[in-house]
Amino acid sequence: MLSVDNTSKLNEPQAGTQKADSEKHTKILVRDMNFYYGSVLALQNVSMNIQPHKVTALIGPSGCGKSTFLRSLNRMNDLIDGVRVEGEIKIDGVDIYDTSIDVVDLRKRIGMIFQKSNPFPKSIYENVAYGPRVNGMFRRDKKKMDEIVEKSLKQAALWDEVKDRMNESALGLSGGQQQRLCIARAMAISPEILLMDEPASALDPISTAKIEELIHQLKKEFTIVIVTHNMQQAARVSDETAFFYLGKLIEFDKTSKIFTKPSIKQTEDYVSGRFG
Amino acid sequence: MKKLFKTGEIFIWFTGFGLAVTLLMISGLLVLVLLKGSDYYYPSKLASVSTVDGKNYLGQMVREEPIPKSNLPDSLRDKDLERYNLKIANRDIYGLDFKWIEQPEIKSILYPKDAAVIERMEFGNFNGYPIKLTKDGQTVIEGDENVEEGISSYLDKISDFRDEINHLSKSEVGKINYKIEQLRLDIKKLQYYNRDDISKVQEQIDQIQDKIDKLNNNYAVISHKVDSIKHIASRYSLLVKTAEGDEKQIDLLNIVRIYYPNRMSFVQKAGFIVNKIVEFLVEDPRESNTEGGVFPAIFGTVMMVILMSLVAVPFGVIAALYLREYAKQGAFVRLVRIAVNNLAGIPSIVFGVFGLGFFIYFVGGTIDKLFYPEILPTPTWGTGGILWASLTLALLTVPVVIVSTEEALASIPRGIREASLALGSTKWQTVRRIVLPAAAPGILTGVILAMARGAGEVAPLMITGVVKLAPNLPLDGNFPFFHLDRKFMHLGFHIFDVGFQSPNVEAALPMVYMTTLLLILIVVLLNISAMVLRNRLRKKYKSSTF
Repeated sequence: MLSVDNTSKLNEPQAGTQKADSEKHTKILVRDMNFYYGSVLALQNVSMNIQPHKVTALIGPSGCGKSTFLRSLNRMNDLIDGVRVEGEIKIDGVDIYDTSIDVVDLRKRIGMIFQKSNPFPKSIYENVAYGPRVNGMFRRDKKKMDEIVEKSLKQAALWDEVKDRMNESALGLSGGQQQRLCIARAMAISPEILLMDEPASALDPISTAKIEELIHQLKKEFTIVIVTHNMQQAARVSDETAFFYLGKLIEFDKTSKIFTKPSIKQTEDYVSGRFG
Repeated sequence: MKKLFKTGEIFIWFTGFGLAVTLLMISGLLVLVLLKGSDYYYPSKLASVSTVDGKNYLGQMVREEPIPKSNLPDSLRDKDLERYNLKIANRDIYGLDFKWIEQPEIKSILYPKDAAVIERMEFGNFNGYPIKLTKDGQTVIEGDENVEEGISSYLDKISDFRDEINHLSKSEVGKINYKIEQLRLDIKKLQYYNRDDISKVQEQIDQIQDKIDKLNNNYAVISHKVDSIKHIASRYSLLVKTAEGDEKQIDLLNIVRIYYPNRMSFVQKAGFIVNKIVEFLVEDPRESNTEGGVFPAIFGTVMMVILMSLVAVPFGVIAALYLREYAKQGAFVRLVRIAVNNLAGIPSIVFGVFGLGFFIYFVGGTIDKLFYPEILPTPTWGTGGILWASLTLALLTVPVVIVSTEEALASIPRGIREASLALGSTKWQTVRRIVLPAAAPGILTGVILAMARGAGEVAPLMITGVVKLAPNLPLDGNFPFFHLDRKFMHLGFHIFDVGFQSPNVEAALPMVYMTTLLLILIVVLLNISAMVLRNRLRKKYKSSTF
C-alpha cells in the first residue's frame, strides 16, 4: 500500500497485520473509501478488513463518521440525497456499490439494529414476521413462519418474555425488550452480517447487559459490526476495535491491543479518556 | 401595570379573551339558528286580534318591535308603542301570509281555544275555526271538540289514500315513464343508425312501439286508479270559518294536519315537535320547498359527499405519496407544493366554472357525441349532474387531502422506515405496509376536513348540477340504480333557494334556519364518525412512547 498521505501511513501497520490473514477469511473488505455528504468529506481513506464470526467495534467521538461507515455497509446512506462513495467495499469479494447490485437483495443479507429501538406499530409477531413476509418467504406456510418467529425471538432472548402475548402491540414492550425485538426482527431474515448502531445507548444497565450477552451468543452465527460510545462495552463485547477520529480511521487492531497498548497516541488518549 | 406586562399575565388574559369571543360567536350562532328555526316545529299560540276599524285577524305573533318614534304622531311618542307581525296565513284569501299591526290600531287580543291551524298541501297554512266534517255534503261530525277528536281517524284514512296516490303516481308511473323513455331512445337510436334505410328496422321499431303502447295502457290503468282514489277521498271535506266569519270548504285530501295550539297540553306539544322533526327529515318538500321535509336534499348532500370522497381521497393520497416519498425534493417539487397549497385557497366558484367547462361541456359533451348521438341536441351527460358536481368538488377538496396526507407522511419517524428498508423490503413495501398504516390517522384528518368543506360548498354546485327540485333521487329501483347523470338537491342550495328565491321568503324563513341547523348537524356527524375512526386507528398505530 503506497501512499504519501499521513493517514495512510498511520494505517500501514494495521494493513500489514491483516495481510497475514488470507483474503478469503475477510467478510467485509474496505479499501480507500471516501464518503461525501454533498461536498463535505465525511470519511477519508478508510481501509479495513472485517473478519467473519467476530465482533468488530467502531469507537470514536461524536461526528467522527463511525455511524456513516456502518450505514454505508448496507447502503442505508443511499436514502440521503447527495451522498457519494469512492473506493471499494466488498462483501464476500463482491463490490456492493457495483451498479449490478440489487440494494434490496444486499440488505436481505445484512441485518441492522438502530440506536433508537424502532419496532413497527404492529403486533410482536408481525414485527418479527415482517422481514420474511416482505421477502416472500413462507407465504403459505403458517407453521414455518411460526417456527422462524419463535427461533428468532429465542435467539434474541425475548421468547420467554413475550410468548404469551404475541398478538399484542410491540409498542407496549419496555425499551430493552423493544430493542431485543428489533434484534429478533433482524435475525428473522437470516442475515450473514449484523450491523449495530449504538444498540444499547438508550437502555438501562440491565437491558444493556442482556444485549451484550446476546452479542456474545450471536457472533457464533453472524459477523457483527457494532458502533458504540461506551468504551467498556467495546472492550467487553468486541474482538477487534476500530478507532475513528474526524473522518479518518486512526487505528484498527485486536481489541485487547487497542485498550492496553495502542500504537498511536491519539487512540491511547481517547481510550484512556483524556479527550473525546 | 408595568408588573402586569412584565409577568406576561396580561397576555394570558388576552388569549383567554380571544377564546371566549370565539366560543361566544359559535354558541350564539347555534342558539340563533335554533330559536329562529323554532317557528318551524313549535306550535305557537294563535292570537285573535280585532282592530279598531272592525277587522279580525287570527295568527301567530312571530315578531314584535317598538315603533320608531319618528313614525308616530306627537301625542303618542312617549308611550313606547309596539307593532306586531302576525302570521295570518290563509294565503288564498289574503294573498299575504304576514301582516304588521300597530298597537294603537288594536282593540283586543284574545286566544280562542277553538282556533286551529290547518296545514294544507297547497296555499300554506289556514288559520280558522273548524265547524264540521262533511261527506258528500252530509254532516259527519259537528261541534268544535267533536271535530278535534274525530277528525284524526279520517285524516289517517285520507293520509293512507294520499300515500297510495303518491306511490302510484310517483313510483309506478315513474317506473313506466322511465321504461317508455328508454324505449323511445331505442327507437331513436335505431332510426339514427339506420337513417339511410329505415325500412330495414321498421319491424323492430314497430315491436318497440307495441311495447310502448302496452306501457301506455298500463299508465292509463294506473291514472284511472289514481283518479278513483282521488274521487273517493274528495268526498270528505272540512267546513271552516275564518277570523272574519266567512265559511270555507277545505278538502280533507288537501289537509296534512290540524292542531289547536291554544289548548295543547305539554305532552301534545312535545308530540307535535317530534312529529314535525320527523316530517322534516323524511318527507319530500311541498309548496316550492317552503313546507314539508328536506329528505331529497339530505340524500343528495350525503351521496354527493360520498362520491366526492371516493374520488378525492385516493387521488389526493396517491399524489401526496408521490410528492413526499418518490419525487426528488427540489425546486420543482417545492413549486408544485406551493401550487397545491394555493389551489386550496382558490374561490370555489372558479372550480365551478372549470367543472362546467371541462366536465360538463367537454367530457359530457364528448360522451354524448360518441354514445348518445341519436338524442342530440338534448344532452344526456352534457348537462349538470351529480357525477359532475362530485368531480368538481373532488377537485376542490383534493388539495386539502394532499396537504394533510403529506404532513402525515412527513411525521412518520425515519426510524421505522429505515428499519423496514434494512430488512430488505422495497420502497413500495415499506410505504404500503409501514408508512401508510401509520399515517392513516393523519390522512383521515384530511379526509374529515375535505368532507366538511365539500358538504358546505354551494357556489360550484349551482352550475354543475344542483336544482331546486329534483323529481327523482339519483339512486332508485330502476336499473342501473345509480343515475349519476341526474340532477340532485343539496342542503346548502336548499337554504339559498328557500331563503332568497322562494315566492314567499318570509314564510320560509323558519325552514331556512332548520335546514341550516341540519347542515351543521350533518357536517358534525360526518366529522364525529371520522374522528371515531381516527381515534381507533390511533390506538392501533400509536407511535412509540419510548
